[in-house]
Amino acid sequence: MYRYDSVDQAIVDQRVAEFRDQTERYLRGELSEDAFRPLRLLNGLYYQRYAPMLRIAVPYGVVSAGQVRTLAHVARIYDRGVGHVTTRQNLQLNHPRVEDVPDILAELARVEMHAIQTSGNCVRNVTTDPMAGVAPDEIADPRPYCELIRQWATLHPEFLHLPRKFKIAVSGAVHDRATVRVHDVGLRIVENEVGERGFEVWAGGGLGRLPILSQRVRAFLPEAELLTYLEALLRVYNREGRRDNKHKARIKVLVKARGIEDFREAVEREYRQGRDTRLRLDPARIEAVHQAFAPPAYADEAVDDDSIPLEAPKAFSEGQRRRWRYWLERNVSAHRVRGYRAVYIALKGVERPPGDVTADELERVADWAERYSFGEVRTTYQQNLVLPDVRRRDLPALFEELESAGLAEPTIGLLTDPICCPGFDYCSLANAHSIPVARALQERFADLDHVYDLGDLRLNISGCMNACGHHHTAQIGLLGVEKQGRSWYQIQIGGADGDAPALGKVLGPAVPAEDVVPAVERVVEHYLAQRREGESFRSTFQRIGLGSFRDALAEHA
Amino acid sequence: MLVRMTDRGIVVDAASVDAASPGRSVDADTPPEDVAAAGLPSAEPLVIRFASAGDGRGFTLARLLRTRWSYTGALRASGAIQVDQLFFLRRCGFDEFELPAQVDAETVRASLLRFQAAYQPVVNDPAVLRDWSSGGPE
Repeated sequence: MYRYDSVDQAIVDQRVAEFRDQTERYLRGELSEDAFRPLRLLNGLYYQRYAPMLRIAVPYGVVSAGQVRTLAHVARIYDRGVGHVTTRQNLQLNHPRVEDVPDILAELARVEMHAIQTSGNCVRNVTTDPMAGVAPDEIADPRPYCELIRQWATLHPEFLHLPRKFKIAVSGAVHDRATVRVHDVGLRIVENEVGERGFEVWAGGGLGRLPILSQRVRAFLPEAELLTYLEALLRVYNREGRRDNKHKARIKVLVKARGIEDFREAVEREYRQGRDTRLRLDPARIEAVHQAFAPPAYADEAVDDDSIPLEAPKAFSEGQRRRWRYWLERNVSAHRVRGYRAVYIALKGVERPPGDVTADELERVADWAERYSFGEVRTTYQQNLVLPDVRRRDLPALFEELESAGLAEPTIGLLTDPICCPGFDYCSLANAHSIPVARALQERFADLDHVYDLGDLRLNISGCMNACGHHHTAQIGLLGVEKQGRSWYQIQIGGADGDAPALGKVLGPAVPAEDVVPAVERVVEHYLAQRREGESFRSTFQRIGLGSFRDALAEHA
Repeated sequence: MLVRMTDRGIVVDAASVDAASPGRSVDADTPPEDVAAAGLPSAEPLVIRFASAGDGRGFTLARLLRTRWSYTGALRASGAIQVDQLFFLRRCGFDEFELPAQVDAETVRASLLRFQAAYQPVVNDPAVLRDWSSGGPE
């Protein structure tokens, strides 16, 4: 993975010194709350409902075993021993003390990490496919381009005060696992007719109060022009995005208001006249960054592994064997190198708020990464972890260790793998609890055979219309709303992320918290009753439509 | 307080700004095309007034006046700017800054000199700059 050079390290170290100075001035009373606010936000420090929250950047979700140990250390020393993986692949600490944050940032800087631009109205952490570099369907590894964008966006003097936050996602594969269509800018690596590499550029997507899928700005952008083009696009947004109303300030509102043709023309005009050729990427520069992500030293002899049957560990009970088979099916993913697999570690379950991981667990993950996966870990948009490079023959041993640590929930992509915002338990914006709803659903759908029968079924939960739980793009989305001081939930169905993204449709009036699980059960039962052989929830929904589900729910009302 | 970047380094003038040349003044949200069309000053500073510290348009305006319109005269940031923005304002092409009188001169210097390295070629680039257009060492 990418290692800092002297420029990277100098910038991060100087940033720590800057924030230490700012924090000290704030604590001495020289900086008011209002003056300190934008400064702390640019370093990922929020004030939440009960405590501050620090969002640590995990650039494009790639983190080394050593970095994971540092994350465990800071979670243990400076917080309550728990970290939380976010949908943008970052890691949040939910109770640090403000006065400790400069020390936390200094500890992170020692392992080439930071919290720069994890909040505020600026370019946020660039996200990508958690299978980057190992996916069989990959056109090119997106991580080098993510790293180039990270560097360009970091402390960009012109773009630290955008109308609103700005999220970029990059996908390098045939199938989109980076949800590029719900980002402010989404980039898909493509090749043109003569085999040159470049990007398809999408803009104006997002969820929140105005859920909308992005539109295509450009079919092919040569890779050398990545940063010059992004600079033109950001400049158009910086100049023309609305600043009178923060709910209308995202680029999606600008793209929608101007129309895609007009927006495209504005970006292209700016690109033609404003290009700073010093930002054009030299092939040698691109190659150097690709080298930083060179594949690990896969064992040549592993190519023969795939023909050998995988045995469950002999001491396993029948129940464990069943979990092992399910785990192989759901948590183990194909790898472009024969004899290797990528392994998901689900941060979900009855006892676990979605995405939470303890310091002890992080240390074990670091150990497994070193022993089984060339020392690398990924965070995912669905709030799980991945060990990207596990040798197939090591799967039984790794499963046993995961199982004994309670980290082998074999539920990736099933109804019990929800994306879930922190909700009312932490967030100042939330209207409703989301974690207790996730827990109630985990308890109700604890029967593995049942959730397996349901197949791929994404259920996401947001505690308010800001939609941090991405409820719009789930097959079943739950949105918390407040009614007379109590939590109610609106149910949406039919959404999807990935290659054919869609926004869910409202099923009916919101239901009180105690009726959420029964309502989800009825939706699921109706699917089971209506589905044809092998038909997914999504296909069934597309065939029978929203009305059929509405009628089914009304019958039980 | 008026802070100026000069050939002799950072000059902090504690005197009130009214005493200095007021120059021509435009709001940070003015399109650079309009500023240029009205004629860029040749002797007096051009003052860009920020109604809020978070208005990024003033940063783009400064950068474009420096690069696209080749403005070489004094460019002053005034209004709601914060001392912690000075390094970035300077990077975008500002070389004069109006600040409240109570701001500590040492804080001003520290902010202006905060980073010795940067990734983006913009206007006033620090000595250590990421080189994107060659594959060689920095």
